[in-house]
Amino acid sequence: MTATIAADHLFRMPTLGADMDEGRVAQWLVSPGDAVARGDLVAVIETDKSDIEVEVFEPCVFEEFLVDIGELVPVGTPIARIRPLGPESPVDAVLVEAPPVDAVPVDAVRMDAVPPVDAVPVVDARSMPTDRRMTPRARRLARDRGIDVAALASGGPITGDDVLRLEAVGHVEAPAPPPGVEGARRRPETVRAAIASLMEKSWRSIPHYHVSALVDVTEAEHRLAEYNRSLPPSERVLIGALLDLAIARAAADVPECNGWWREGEFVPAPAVDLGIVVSLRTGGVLVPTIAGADQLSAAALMGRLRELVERARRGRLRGSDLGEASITVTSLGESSARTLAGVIHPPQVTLVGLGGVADEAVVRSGEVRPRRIVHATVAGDHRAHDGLSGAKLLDRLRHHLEDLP
Amino acid sequence: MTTAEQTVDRDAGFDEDDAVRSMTCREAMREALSAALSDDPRVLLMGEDVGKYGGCFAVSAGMLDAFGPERVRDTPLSESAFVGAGIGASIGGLRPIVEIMTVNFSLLALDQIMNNAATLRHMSGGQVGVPLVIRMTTGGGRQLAAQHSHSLEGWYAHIPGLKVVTPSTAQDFRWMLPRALEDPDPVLVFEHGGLYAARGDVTRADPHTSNEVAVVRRPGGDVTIITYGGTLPTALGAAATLADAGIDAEVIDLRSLRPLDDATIIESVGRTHRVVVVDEGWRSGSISAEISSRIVESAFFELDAPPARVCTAEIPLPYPRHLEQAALPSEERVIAAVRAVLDDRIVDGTVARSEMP
Repeated sequence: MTATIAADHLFRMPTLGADMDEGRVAQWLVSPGDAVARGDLVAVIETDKSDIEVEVFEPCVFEEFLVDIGELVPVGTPIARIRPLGPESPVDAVLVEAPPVDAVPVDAVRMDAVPPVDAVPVVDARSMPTDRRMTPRARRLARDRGIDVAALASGGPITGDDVLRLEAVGHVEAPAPPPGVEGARRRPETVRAAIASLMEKSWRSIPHYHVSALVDVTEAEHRLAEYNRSLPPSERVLIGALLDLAIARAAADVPECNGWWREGEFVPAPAVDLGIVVSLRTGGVLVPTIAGADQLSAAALMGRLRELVERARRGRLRGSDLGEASITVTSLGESSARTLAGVIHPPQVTLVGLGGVADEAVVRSGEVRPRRIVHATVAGDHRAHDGLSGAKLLDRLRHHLEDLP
Repeated sequence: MTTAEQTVDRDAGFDEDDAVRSMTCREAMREALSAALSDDPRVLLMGEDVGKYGGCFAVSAGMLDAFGPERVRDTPLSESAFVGAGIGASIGGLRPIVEIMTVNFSLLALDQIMNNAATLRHMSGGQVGVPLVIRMTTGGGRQLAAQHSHSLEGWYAHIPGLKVVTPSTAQDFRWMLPRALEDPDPVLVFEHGGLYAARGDVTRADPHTSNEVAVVRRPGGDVTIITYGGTLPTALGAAATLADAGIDAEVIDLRSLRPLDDATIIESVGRTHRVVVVDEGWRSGSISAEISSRIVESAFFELDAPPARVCTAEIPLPYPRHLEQAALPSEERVIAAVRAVLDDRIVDGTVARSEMP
């Protein structure tokens, strides 16, 4: 962020995820004159995919709102005038004594991405972040036809055909809802279009392979029952969380499965940021991320899961929930379906699909025994790694499950 | 071959307007020369070995006997002199066709071509034109080593005052010459040496309205391959292979390098949004550079991929066959370039299709 932005003391429409280029303030969680501290929630921003609660990273006073509730504005548009507070100044103190403005750090208010300096007045492909390249034809089509390309998947440049396809599925710039609609609704058809575009891109461009293994969770369920015995229901850990954690730790062991396919080559991720597919009651899915999942305890990961699922289903994910995942897990939970051979979320290179837990007859030491079994299936990007890596990931999953919870 | 076979009786030919004959490019040019000499007493052919020897590439075989030494003139090995003589003859009212054996020898006449033929109309305020046709063999691929394998047509296309045409089919070998002779200004005809033995259909009349229009030799919707002259068969061969893989390439034959038919190029790129230029010239400062630049200037907002080029390696062309072939544009290199510009659309080897509104 530049000094110019700091100097103008404007709170701008943030970029909440790499594919957002415009948004609406659905609700202010502060009033003019309110002082806020680092981490406070200040607004609910509605994007195509979700409503997201926005935090501030440094203390400041919100002085004046510059956009109407529900007004669609490009990323980078000033949405509030703020007065930064120096990090040394306790919030209560500065309410009576104005802080020395010059002492404010440059990025007094910072979201997870830097808004572009040039705010643009209409839907304009030029406001796209640089990692979402568009061909000249795609830019022209998007501009001339007013098509918002935010729903298109990243990975490879967006072409003119991509834009026309998006237009064909009816994903044109949505009219602004009437001002004042509380927590303006996420548009399910937009979520559908975003999923359609992403999945089509994935299936078209990624040569998938799938490998499956049976994961015996009999012992893990016994240990989990023991672990949960003394805990209140709100703190109990579910088998799904153990499996997610085992997958995250397995991904750390098999680095070629954990990362992204970019510009024709595999880029390993520096950490295991686990994407969790959450299905919505209105249809469609959202994929929030648990950063550094392999480093968490089972209880901590379960806590994050509860928060994410709850916020995703309320349509109130936070900016910090939408970091870029390095590997994704999708689960059918209680379903009677057993095997899920999934579609990779580009530009990631691996997705693990879990079926429901069920009793199966398993041969152990020459005897047929009833065991609790989950079918785990790795969907791998064959450009980035081979079936052996997928099989190794499943082996490591089973290995880590033995130590959990 | 007898005079009767050589000479085309145009009046008799009209009875067979629809007749299509198969002939080599060499035969087509020979017929074009014979017809021009028969039709117009102002036309003469001059150059090294065009008479007694029948032409270095046997194009004018038999014509000395048919038309006599006044009209089929062997010249000394002095390109500057005989090109200059051709310029003088054309100013004086004749319609000379000057043959330069291979493109490298034209450099000895570059002063005449560039400083006289190309400029006199402009320097005389329109009073003196130079209606001269210069034919020369161009291109590599025949193990003639570095000095006889140039593709300098793109160089000549740089020069205002000249027209540069590049026949690539028997049809164009037959019908570009009479149109060049009709031109009031100098026209350079670059005949790729690798094409003389190539066979094709020739009609009784020119199917094209002008030498200066490009022709779509193969229609297609996925990518435009632009080429001319000796690399047309390369481009068409690549397009056929790509078609087997489900990639539908359009192939444009420029025919004329100066002027360039921008309209045909831009129209095609506007449909396919992706383009590969195939040019036997060296890449730096080439006609392919000019074409790429015009596409970016005029069709930037139609492009879904950067224009790609397949040119000859930037070295003096080697003599050994395997090295020469490796240096020249090949079907394999054209195919690779097409796949690269279609990269994001190719899935399992074929172009992903989608229904557009």
